[in-house]
Amino acid sequence: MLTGIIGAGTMGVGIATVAAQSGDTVFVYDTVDTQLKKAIQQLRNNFTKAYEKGKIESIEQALLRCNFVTQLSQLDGCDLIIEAVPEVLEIKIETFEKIEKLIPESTILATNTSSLSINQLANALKNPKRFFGLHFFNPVPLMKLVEVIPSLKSDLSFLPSMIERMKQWNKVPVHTKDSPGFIVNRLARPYYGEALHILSEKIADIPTIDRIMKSAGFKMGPFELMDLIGLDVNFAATQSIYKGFFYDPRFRPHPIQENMVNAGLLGRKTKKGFYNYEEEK
Amino acid sequence: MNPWGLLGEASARTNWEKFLLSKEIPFLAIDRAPIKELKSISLVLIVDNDFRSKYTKKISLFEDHINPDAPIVANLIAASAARLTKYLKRPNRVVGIAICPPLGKYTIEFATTEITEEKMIATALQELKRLELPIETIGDRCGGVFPRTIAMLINEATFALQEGLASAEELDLAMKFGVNYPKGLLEWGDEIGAKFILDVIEGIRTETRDSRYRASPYLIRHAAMNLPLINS
Repeated sequence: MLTGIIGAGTMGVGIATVAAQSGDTVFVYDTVDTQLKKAIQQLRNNFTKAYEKGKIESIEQALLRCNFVTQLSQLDGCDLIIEAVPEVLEIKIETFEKIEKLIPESTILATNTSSLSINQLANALKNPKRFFGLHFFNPVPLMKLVEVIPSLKSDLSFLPSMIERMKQWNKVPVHTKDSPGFIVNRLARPYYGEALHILSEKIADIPTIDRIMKSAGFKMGPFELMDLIGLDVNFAATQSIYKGFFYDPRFRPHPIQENMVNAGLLGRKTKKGFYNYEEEK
Repeated sequence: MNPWGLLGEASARTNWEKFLLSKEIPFLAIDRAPIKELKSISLVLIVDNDFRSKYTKKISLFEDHINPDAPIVANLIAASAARLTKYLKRPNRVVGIAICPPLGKYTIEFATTEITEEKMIATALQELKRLELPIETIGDRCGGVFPRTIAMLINEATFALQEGLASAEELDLAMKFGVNYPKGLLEWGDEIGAKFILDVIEGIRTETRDSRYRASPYLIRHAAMNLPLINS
């Protein structure tokens, strides 16, 4: 199997890792040379971890299955091409318009979007029948879920082979409809939203809320998790889903989120969010 | 060891009776026990989720006969403890707990009102320790922390199921493998019970008047028919 990945950022490299680990020959495309160099190093790191866990037999063999290209036309032999460029509608549409001219009709095209409409992207394609959403979760080598999302114009006869391919990649594929936030990002909203309401209503403080939720079986409390995800990322996801559901109050963002984002208190990445990480090395 | 007095409808009382038996805590049903035995009660537990139920309202009939040093523990699942106080001559003995079924699995969330006596707080905490569960103190608000959050998560999963976003199995797989939840939300809903989830959401909606707390028709119907959320 030949897999093409467009975009050598964190998600692109993660997808390339799981594809190559499963025996696919992978072509990673990016226009930025330094990004490709970073990708090679990151892939080596990922394969080293996989080797240490006994998931692959050879780091070098896995790396040999990875090719790094700077021309989109070099993806023309792939039977599956996954786009993982920045989450901007115009950039994604422009990418698909370019690639569509270079590849045969039989190639499956997929987007790794987490928030854009699959239907809207499909509508920009000449051949939307072979187009799907494949939503991977970060970090891709560790998180097993892939949401498989056909558009209303997708040919569903492609679906079984897509799902089988994801299983070969040792993923857990779930078939879902194109709807704001798909499954996970939507269903998880109340975990953050209720925590913020409980905090603002002074029912409990941040450490107490996190302690109670962890004692119920969640690996991280909602505030610890928001700090890890990044408050800006979490707030953007909430806003996107709220807008996508035409301002249904179930998804209403909380002013605490916006205040924190405005203040640049974004969580672990800025060393301060709901908790203070300045002392951490 | 003094008994606890339970007040509530039979099915809720049975769940608590089983749990108390497992902890070797004696108990009696307040509306069934001989009046003279009510003086020995060390704690009164309202087990109905709905404080407006006919059982809960009976507390006013028995108040004078119950040990005056026993705190009365309101159930925070569908109402704040403050709302029980209006049925009592001595409202300053009311505290509240939010605890999610199955009993014995989750932290006890403990709350007091602005007028609860210190002595009642101390006695209630001392007595609740007999359940051998972690206790966290929270504000007096319907649904507490975990019951409120899990209820809203499960409610959203039932909206998604109702819309046909994915199958029940796939919705549950997604949350387990996409965000590492310990259980799928619908599976969790069936463990807790649709009626309980609905009671929490409707209770919060009543107290906050916030349209954010809107139960899905799927949840409402399954709670009404006492059907599981998955495979029904």
